[in-house]
Amino acid sequence: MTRRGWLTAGFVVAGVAAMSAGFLASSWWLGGSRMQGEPAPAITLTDLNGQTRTLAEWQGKLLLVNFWATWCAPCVDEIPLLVEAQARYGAKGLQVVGPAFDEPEPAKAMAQRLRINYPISADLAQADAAARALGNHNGMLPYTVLISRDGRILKTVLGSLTREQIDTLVQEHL
Amino acid sequence: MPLIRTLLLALACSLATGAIARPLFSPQPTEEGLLPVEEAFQLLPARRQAQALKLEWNIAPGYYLYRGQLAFEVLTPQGFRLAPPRLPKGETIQDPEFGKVEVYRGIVAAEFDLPPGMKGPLKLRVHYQGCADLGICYPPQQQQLAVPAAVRS
Repeated sequence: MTRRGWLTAGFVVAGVAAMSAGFLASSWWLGGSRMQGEPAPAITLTDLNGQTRTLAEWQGKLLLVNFWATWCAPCVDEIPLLVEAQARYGAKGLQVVGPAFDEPEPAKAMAQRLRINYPISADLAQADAAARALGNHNGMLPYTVLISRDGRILKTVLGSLTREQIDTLVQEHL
Repeated sequence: MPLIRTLLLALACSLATGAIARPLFSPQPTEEGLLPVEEAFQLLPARRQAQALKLEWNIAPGYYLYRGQLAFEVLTPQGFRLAPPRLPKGETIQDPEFGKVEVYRGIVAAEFDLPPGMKGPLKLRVHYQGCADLGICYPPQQQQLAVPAAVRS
């Protein structure tokens, strides 16, 4: 190869490497998992029975915290998949928790309609504080956070998860 | 030297291209990839005529507002109530859980008739809620809006 050829090849390789670096750096900066690896913050929620629950009480389980609301169609559409996941993987150590950006009455009605089989809370201020502590600052929904058995944040996801995504995530970390 | 400078510039451009391209390939949306709520659903200044009031939203492409979530409250003058607004027919979308729901895209206006005696300024609280086509919903919004007094003709 001529000197000019080597130079061109080197230039192309360097360009591709720089583009990849930019892609990865942006992935770290913009990705939904900036909190990955960090210990989950202390979070308190009041369930629909008025019981105070903390995320710490489920330490030792794989926790899937799904923020939702009755006014959020993509959230409501996703819930049957989470109910299914809780039924399928609960005995193996998965615990789904659903803080709602909502009032108790509509949340209770929706929980009955969708036969939600995991603890949910319906307190706007609590849900907002919990979501912010877990990396969601604008209250956009649905928002899901996966927390390891030892209480570390594994992944945060803005937007609905598919059944395949839930299965992959859960099976990978159970 | 100019060659090295050109090469460095090209590498910097490659780095930036990679960073910019990443959201296009992202399987999940990110908070940063979505418009702030006030840009997604821009509530324009109220337009007042003697006996009419028009409130308009400019909805960004790829976003929509729910017709059923639009609500209007009068804060002042106290005790004054607005008649229900005239709203255009929206787009009907089918949701697996909610069934058929009507949504608005682009520019949408709510038009109110005001009684002949109502000439002074009004202060309103407007409620609205919408989502992005990416499958993300914004929390319900409340915005106060000052409506100027009718201009004497």
